[in-house]
Amino acid sequence: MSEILAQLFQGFTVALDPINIFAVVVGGIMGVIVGGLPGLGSVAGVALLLPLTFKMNPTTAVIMLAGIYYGNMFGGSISAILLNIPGDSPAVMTAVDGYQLARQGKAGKALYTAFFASFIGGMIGAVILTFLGPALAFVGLRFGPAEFTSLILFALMSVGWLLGENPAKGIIATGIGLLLSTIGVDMIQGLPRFTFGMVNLTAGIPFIPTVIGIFGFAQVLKLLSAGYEIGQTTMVTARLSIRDSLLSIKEWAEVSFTIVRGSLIGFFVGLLPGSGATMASFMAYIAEMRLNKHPERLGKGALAGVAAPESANNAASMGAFAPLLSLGIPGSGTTALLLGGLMMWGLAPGPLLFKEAPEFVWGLMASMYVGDIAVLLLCVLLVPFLAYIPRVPKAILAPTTIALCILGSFSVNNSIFDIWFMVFMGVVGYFMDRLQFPTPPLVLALVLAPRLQTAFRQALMISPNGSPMIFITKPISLAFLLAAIVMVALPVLIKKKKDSPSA
Amino acid sequence: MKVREDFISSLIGLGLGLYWVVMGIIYGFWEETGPASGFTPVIFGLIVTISSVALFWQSLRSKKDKKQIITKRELLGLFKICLAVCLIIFCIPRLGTFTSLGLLLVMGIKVISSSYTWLMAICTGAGITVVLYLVFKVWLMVPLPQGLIGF
Repeated sequence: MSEILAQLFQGFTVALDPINIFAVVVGGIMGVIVGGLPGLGSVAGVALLLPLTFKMNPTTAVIMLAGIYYGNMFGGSISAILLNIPGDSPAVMTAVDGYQLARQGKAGKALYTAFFASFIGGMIGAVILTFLGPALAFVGLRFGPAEFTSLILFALMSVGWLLGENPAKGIIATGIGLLLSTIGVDMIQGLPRFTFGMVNLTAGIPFIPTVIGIFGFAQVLKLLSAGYEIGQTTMVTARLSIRDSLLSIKEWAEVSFTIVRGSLIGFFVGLLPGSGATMASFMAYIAEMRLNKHPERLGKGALAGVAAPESANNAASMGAFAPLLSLGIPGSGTTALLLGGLMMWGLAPGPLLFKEAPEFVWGLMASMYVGDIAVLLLCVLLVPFLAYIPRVPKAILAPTTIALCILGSFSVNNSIFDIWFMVFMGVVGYFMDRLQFPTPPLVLALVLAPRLQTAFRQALMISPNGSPMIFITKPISLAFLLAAIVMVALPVLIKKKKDSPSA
Repeated sequence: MKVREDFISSLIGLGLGLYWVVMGIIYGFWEETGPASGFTPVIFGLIVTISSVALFWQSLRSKKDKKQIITKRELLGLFKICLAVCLIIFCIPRLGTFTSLGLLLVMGIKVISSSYTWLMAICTGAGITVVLYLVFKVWLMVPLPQGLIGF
């Protein structure tokens, strides 16, 4: 412990070097802006700026790129809350409650909750990474196909909490998400499935345009189509002021446990290779629906519904650094890019990195604390400027949102097809909303199903004779399966107990 | 004409689910080495099929669900917006991204609110277009289509 603290102290001497502070602040600002723009996630942000860092000192360069990564997690919530367009996929769940809060005139509270939850999530993630990261990275390695399948099944079993008033409609929405996830070339056998002869669908449906369509474009369609309840008003009408936006002590008490839970879940999911911040934010939201004292408020504008995914996605971005630095295995798309950068600068991530380049590793870790504080300050200062967005008249806001939806959808793959697909999913999202089909289960299924399909089939392929016993014989897998059964059975048992005459 | 929306949505779900099941079987459900390409589509298709049957049954039994959720006027409004957006997307590779988006913004502002004069709509639309150009084209260097006009 004392050795780690001494190394962290050394790291702070590197991180607090003026050039490194400048790098993390610039990276953080860029991350917030790129994160706030629909379609351009942290992968695009890091990729765009990677060439600019070639001539920098490796430590300064990675500190700057890491700043973009977690600044992006902060920024994604801004457009999700104010426009119902998630800036990046990890902010999808933030839009669910965040936009409802904005419509209720509580956009400021939603933004502050998102920023502070992101900050605390990032801090908790950085502390765990500092003290336990290298050891926990090996836990991530114990997750093979069987363990992943059971983990995702466990998450999907929890989908019941997102289904809404009519379970049949909720299951159909989940099922449509599952069906859409099968579109594209089968990753194991290379066979194109459900592509309808379209080359653009061979890589699967474009996720970000789908999300922009279902959330953002569908919202504009609802706003502009005649006779709908909000058709005659602006998207968000309330004013924002710092004083009205700050959370009360009671509200802090409500979200504090949520933030801690979200951070721990987010960090753990971030550790798992291939999971990333999107899955983390979904898992945290699902856990909140299960553990929150007022689950009925979630989805209708609850602060906890903003705090859970935001704390989780920031903690996950920290968690993803553990396998990257300790084992050289990237946990997400952005850390894969950072891995490329590290190798380019002659640094070989893995167990030896801590011994061979301690000033780099500990400087980077210390910069996470510095960067988290810097980005929080920046975001808090931004709120008065963001306050103008909800006051923009509908006549300007609606066409601007459509323009952002178009630009955001194109920017992911530089493809016109993605814009058409966004419009198509917008219409689907519009009808789903009007016919009272919940959209979050569809997006949840889209996030989880591709990993589930691959892991499930891989597990059966490595199991002797394709036996499903592999899911029971592996202890971690068995634990998740049992937890999934408990998750399904518990509400039924509780209801039975309540309904029994003796109760 | 009053329409039972749940009845229609359950039929759409049923059609989609069955299509996925049939295609999954054609792709192959199981082979010697384990599950084949059609394995998960069949399972997912069955989930949608069964839940659609449940919704279909619900819609047949429901007595209260007689009111129309989406009106013809609303559908017409939706059609007009989608048509306008599709025209703009069609124009993007031909006229250029920012020329098309500029048109969308100016026309959108003018059509949604008659309180804006043409001059106000043009100035506001052009201002937003320039900001979007500076962010997406100049700063982030997204290779957006330039079209005939080059903007």
